[in-house]
Amino acid sequence: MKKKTITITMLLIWICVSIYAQTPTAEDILKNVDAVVNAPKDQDLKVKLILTDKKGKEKTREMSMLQKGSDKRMVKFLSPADQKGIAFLSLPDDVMYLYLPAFKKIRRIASHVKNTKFAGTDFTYEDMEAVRYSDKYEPEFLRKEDSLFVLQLIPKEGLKTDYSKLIMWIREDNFYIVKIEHYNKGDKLFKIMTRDKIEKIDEYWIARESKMQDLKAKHTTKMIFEEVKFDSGFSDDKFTKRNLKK
Amino acid sequence: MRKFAELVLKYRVPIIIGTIIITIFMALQLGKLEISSDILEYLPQDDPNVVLFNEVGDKFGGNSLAMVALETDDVFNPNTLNRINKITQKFKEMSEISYVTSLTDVIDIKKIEDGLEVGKLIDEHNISTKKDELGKIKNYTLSKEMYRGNIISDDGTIAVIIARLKDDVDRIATGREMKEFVLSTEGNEKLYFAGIPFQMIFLTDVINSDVIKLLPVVLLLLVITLAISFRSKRGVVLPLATVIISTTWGLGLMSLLGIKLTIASDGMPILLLAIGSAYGIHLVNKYLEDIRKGDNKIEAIKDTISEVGVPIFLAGLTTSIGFLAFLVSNLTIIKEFGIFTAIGVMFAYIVAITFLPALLSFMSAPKIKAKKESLEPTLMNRFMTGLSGLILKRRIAILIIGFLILAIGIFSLFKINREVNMVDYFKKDSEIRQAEDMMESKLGGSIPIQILVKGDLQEPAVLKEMIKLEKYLKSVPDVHSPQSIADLICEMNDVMNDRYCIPDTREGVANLWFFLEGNEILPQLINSKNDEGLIQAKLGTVNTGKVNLVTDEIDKFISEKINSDMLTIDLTKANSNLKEISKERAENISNMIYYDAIQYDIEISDRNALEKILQKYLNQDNSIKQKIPASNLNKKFTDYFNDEDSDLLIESERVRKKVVKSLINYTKNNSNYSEKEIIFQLKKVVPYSYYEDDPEMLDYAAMSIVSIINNEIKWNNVNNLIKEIAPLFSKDIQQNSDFHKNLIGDIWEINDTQIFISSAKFKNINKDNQLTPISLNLQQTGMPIIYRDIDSNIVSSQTYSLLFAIGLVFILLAIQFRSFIGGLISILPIILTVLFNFAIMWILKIPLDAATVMIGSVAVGIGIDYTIHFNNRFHSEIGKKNSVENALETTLQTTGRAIIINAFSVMFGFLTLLLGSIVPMQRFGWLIALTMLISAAASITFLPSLLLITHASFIGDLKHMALRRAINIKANIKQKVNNFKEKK
Repeated sequence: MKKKTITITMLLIWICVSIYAQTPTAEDILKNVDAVVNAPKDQDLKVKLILTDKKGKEKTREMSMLQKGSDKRMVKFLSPADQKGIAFLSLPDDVMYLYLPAFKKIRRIASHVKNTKFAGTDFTYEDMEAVRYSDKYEPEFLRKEDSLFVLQLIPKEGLKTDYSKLIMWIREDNFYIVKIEHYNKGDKLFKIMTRDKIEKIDEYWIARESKMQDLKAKHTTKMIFEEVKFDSGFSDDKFTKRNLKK
Repeated sequence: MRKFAELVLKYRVPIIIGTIIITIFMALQLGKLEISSDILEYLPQDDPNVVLFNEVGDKFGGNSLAMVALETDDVFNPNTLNRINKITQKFKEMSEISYVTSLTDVIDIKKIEDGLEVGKLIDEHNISTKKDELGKIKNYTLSKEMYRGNIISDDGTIAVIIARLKDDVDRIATGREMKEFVLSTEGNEKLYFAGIPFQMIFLTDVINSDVIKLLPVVLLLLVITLAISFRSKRGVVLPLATVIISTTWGLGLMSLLGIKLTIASDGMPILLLAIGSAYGIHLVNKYLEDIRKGDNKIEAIKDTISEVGVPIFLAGLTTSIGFLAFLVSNLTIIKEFGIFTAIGVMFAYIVAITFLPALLSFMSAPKIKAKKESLEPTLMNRFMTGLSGLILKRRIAILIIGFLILAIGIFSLFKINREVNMVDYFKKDSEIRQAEDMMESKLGGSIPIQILVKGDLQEPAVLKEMIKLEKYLKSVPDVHSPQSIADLICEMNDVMNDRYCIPDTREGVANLWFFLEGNEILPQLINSKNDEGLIQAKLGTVNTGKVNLVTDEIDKFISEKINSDMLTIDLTKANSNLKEISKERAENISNMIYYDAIQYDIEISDRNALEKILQKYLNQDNSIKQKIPASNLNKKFTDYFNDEDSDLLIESERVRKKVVKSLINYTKNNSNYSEKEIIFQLKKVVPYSYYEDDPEMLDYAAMSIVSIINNEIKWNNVNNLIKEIAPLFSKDIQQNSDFHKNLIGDIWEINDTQIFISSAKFKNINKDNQLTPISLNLQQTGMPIIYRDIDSNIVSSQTYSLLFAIGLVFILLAIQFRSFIGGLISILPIILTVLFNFAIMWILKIPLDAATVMIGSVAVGIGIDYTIHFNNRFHSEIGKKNSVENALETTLQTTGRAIIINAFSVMFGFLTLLLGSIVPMQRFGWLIALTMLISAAASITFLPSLLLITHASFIGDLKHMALRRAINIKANIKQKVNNFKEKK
C-alpha cells in the first residue's frame, strides 16, 4: 500500500515535471534567459560596429569592451583614427565617465536619458545595459515556434522605457535570445534585434553577431564580437578613472 | 463662312449628340480634378533653386515643418504639459514625420561640477504637478537660448511642437491627420497651426470652397443679365449652355491631363463664364436681329454664322492671345492658367458656332413682337450725344489726360510692391494668417532659411567658417536661431571645456563630435558621409521685400566673407607673412565679436581699437604669451594631487605642498617646460613608495600637469584680453551671460596654433602647391530663396507676357487695318488701360502676386475687342456719313453703347471674385473689373480723340472731313441762331 502510494506520488510528480518540462511558465523561461545573459563573471571583448544608413552607406568603428558583472563596464574606441582613445567608464547607479584624449580631460556624465543612441549606433543605452528582464518586465507566453519560445514582455509599472512591449524569441535548448521585436508607445513595431552565430565559448553561450534595425530611420547596426574572453578575473581597479586614459 | 454654316446645319444631329457625349465625358473628369497648393509647383521642376531645395529636403529628413502652438497664461502647468506630451508622442509615432521637437521631448545638457548632466528638459514619463518645481523648470527653460524663442515664447505663454515631415509624404493628408489629433486632445489652450503643411491645407480648402461658392453666383448673374437683355427663354438658355459646356470642357481637359487647379487658376471657371458668354450672346443677338428683319429660321442661322462668325472668332483669338502670352512666363502655374483659359475661350467659340446654331435650328422661330420704338432718347442716348460733343470740343484735353495717365503708369511700374508669400494670400483675420503672425512675432517665424554646406564637416576650418556665417546671421534683423553641426560642436566644447568655439584640431572636433553621435538632430543637419551639412535659421518675416533683402545680404556675405579655399598653417612652424596673418586673424575675431554684440544689443565704441588690441596681442612674442600665472596654478595642482581618482594621489598634505611648490618653482623658471622635465622634477620630490606599484603613474601625472599648465596659460590670456577690451562695450559684459559666453569663444581663438587662412589672399604661401587647400562651398536654399525666385519670375512674367501680348495684338491689328499707324493707334488705349491699372496698384499699394500679375495680359486680350469694335464701326460710319460728328455720334450710340453694356456685364462677373477668400483673387477680381471699365472708357474717349487729332488715314478720309466739318459747324450755328430767333 505504502509502496503503491509512493509509486503513484512519484508518477504524479513525474507527470508534473514532464508537463512542466514541455511548457515551462513564461516566468521560468525569462528567469532562465536572465541567468544565461548574466552568466559570465566578466567579459573581455573586441567589438566591431558596422553602421548602415538608409542609402546603404556603411561606417565601421572598433572598440574594446571590458565588463564585470552587469554594472561595471569600460569601453575604449580603437577606430576611426580621430576618435581613438575616447573612453567610457560606466559604474553602478548611472555614474559614467568620459575621457576625451584631444583635451586630455575626464568628464563625469550623469545621464538620465536611456533612450539615446549609443555612439551613433541603433542600440540605445537601454539596449546596451546588461539587463535582468524579469526585474523589469512582466512576461506572457505566446506560443512555441519549432524550437523557439515566443514571449511577450510588458514593462512593469513605473519603468521608464520607450517600449510598450517586446516580443522575444528564445531558444528552447539553451534559453538564448535570438530575436527581439521592440514596439513603441503607439504599439507599432519600430526596432528589431536579431542574433546570429550563436556559439558556446568556454561554458557560456554568446552570439558573435547582433543586428539592430531601426525601421523608421531605416538604419541598421551590426555588432560583431571579434574576440571574446570570459572570466579573466578582472579586479575592480580596472574600472577606475585613471584607467580611462590608458 | 456660309459654307461652314451649311455644314453645321447639315450635321446638326451629330453635332448635338457629339457635344453632349463630350460634355458628359468631361463632366465625369471633373471629380478627379485635383487642387495644388504647393508653392514649389509655381516653378518649373528643373529650376536650379527647386532642384537644390528638393535635394536638401531629400538629404536632411524633409523640408516641411509643421508647427502646432498652444497658448495659455503659463505653459508650465501639468495639464498643458501633458497635452503637449500627448501630441508629441502621437507625432513621433506617425511614419510620415521624421522628427519632433517640443518641451516634453528635447535633450537637455547641463554643466555640472566636473562634467555634464544629460537629461530630458521635462521627463515625459513623470511630468511634475508641483507648482514650485514647475516654476523652476520654467525659469531654467526660459534662461536657455536653445529653447527660448524656439519651442517656447519668451514670456512662457506659448509652447510649440515642431514636426519635420518626410520628403515624399502627402503633406496635406499628414497635416490633416495631425490637426485632427490635436483637436481631439482635451484642454483650454488656444491652438495655432503654422508652417507650410497647414498653409497648404488651408489654401486647398479655400480654393475648393471658393469655386463652389462663387460658381452659382456667377451663373445667377449671367442668367439675370441674359434675361434682361433678351427677355426670352432661349436668350438665357442658349448662351448659358454654351459657357457651361465650354467651361466643363476646359476644366475636364485639365483634369484629364493631370493639371491641378492652383491659386492662379481657381478663378478660371468664373473667368471662362464671364468671357465665354459673350460669343453666345452675339450669336443669339444677331439671329434675333435677322429674324426681325424677316429671314426664315434656317436663313437667319446661316446669315448669323457667316456674318458674325469671323468677328467673334477675331475677338476670341485676341482674347486667347492675351492668355497665351502667359506661355512666356517661367511660373508653371501661370503658364498652365494661360494655356487652359485660352483653350477654354476657344472652346466657348467652337460651341457657340456649332452646337448653339444646331440647337437653334430645332427651335421654332420666335414670334416677332412689334417693338415700340420709343422716340424719347434714353439716358444712354443722351450720354453718348454729350460724349460725342465733348470729344469734339475737348479732344486735346482728353489726349493730354490720357498721356498723363500713361506717364504716371510708366512711373508707377517701378514702384509697385510684390508679394509672393502664401501667407499673404489669406485674409488678415483667417486662422492661418493669425497663426503665422503669432509665429512671426513670438517665435521668430515659421519659414526656415537653409544654407547647404559642402565640405569636410569634421574639418575645423570648415566649421569655423560656418560659425562665422551663423554669427553674422544672428546679427541680421529678422533672422533668428541659426543651427548647424558647427554650433552643436561649439555647444559641446562649452559644456566640456567652457569655451563656445570650434577646436583648432581635427582630433578635438572628432572628440566632441563623438558625443553628439546618435542624437536625433544630426540627420537633420549633416549627411552620413559628413561632407554635406545644413545651416538652418528662421526668418521672421513674410514680407517679400524683406525676404529679398535678407536673402540677398546673405548671398553677398557668403560670396564676400566666406573663404572657399583655405590653407592650414601651423603657427609654431610658420615664419613668413606673420604680420599679415595676425592682421587677418585680428580682423576676423573682431568681426565675430561685432556680430555677437549686435545680436545682444551691445554697442562697440571703437571697432578699430578692438582690432588694434587683438592685433597687438597676436603680434606679441611667444615668451610674453606663454607667461605662467603662478597664483592659479597653486590651487589647480593641489586639487589635482588631492583627487582620489588622480593619476598620482598624494594624501599627505606635507608632501603635497612640497610637490606643488617645487612644480611652481620649476614652471616659473622654465617657459619651455616639458613632460620629461616634469617627470624628472616629480621624481625628485615624490617619495618612491607612491608610485612603486605602477611606474607609469608619473608619466600620466606629468601629462596631466602639462595639460593643466597649458590650460591655465590660455585662460589667463583670454581673461586678460577680455579685461582690456571690456571698456569698449556699451554694457557690462558680465551682466549678459549669453554674450559673455560668445565673447570667450571668440577670444579663445587667440590660443589657436593651427590656423586657417584664405588661399586666395595668401597666394605666396602656397606658391609650390605644397599645401592642399581645404575647400568649402556654401549655397543658400530654403523657402525664402524659392520666394525670391518666384518673385523675380513674377516680374519677368509680367514684363514678357505683357510685351508679348501687346506685340501680338499689335501685329494682328496692323494686319486687320492694313496699316502700321492703325495698329499703333489702336493699341494705345490698351496700353493706357494697362498702365492705369499699374498706377492704381501703386497708389493703393496693391502688390503684384500670382494673380494680379495676370491682369495686364488679360486686359489686353479682353480690352482689345472694344478697340476693334469701335474702329470697325467708325470706319464704316465715316464711309456712310457726311460728317465726322455724325460718324462719331452714330458710332458711340451703337457700338459705344454695346461696349459699355459689355464692359459692365463682364465687370460684374469679375466682381464676384470679391466674395472669395483668397486675397490675390479678390484683388484680381476688382482690379480687372476696374480695368474693363477703363478699357471701355478709353476706347470711347481717348481712342476717338486720338483718331481725330492724328487724322489717321486708315480710318477714312478725315482730312477732307475737317473741311466739311467747318461748313457743318457754320450751318449748325446758323440753324441755332435761326431757332433762337424763331422762338423769340
